[in-house]
Amino acid sequence: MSDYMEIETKIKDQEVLVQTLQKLGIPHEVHDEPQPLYGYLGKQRDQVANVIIRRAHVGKASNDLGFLNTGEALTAVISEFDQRGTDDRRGAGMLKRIVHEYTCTMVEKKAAARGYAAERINDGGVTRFRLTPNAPTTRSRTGRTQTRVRL
Amino acid sequence: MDGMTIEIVVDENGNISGEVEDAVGAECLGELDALLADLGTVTKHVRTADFHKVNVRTTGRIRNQAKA
Repeated sequence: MSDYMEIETKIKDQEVLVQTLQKLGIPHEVHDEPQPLYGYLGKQRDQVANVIIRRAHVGKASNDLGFLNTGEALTAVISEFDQRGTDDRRGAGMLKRIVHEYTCTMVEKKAAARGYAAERINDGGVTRFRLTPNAPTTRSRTGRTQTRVRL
Repeated sequence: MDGMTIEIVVDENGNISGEVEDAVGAECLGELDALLADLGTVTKHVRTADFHKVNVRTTGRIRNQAKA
């Protein structure tokens, strides 16, 4: 029986997480009260989650994959088995896709809130966004500065 | 900030980086910085069995790369 692990993710907005799962076409359940997860043999486990992807939708021999809302963030609850490897046939690959798409959705959402139009360009596993102001304003250009921020 | 373009890159692991070109430094840097701050940056892995931290990544830094 595979142990479960909790992984603190960058996911903080449950609503956006659910939108992301819908966008990716991943069947899921959403619960106000955390519900138990089940292992690959159908045995109920001690771990609980608010957003649950049942094992049949995760991969062959996989366990349920969940997200527990702690109030501050959503912690991924994933079995050790599903943590191995990052291909799409296991939970880790699925979690990676979810986190990536969630981040992209957040970029679009936050950019729009700040008045930017976002052009999305998919470049292999990387997604680029070119953000331009919706309402141009004037500025005096005194020079050229290139600034990078890497987090 | 007419003509300003911000580029945000999301890698396959969901890590974010950003870049501003053709911009008046401080103002645009502030915009990019604020946008990235909105997006949050903390990633932490915690193993539940023994609460052993296996990876903590909370770094963030800003550097000016070029000025002409």
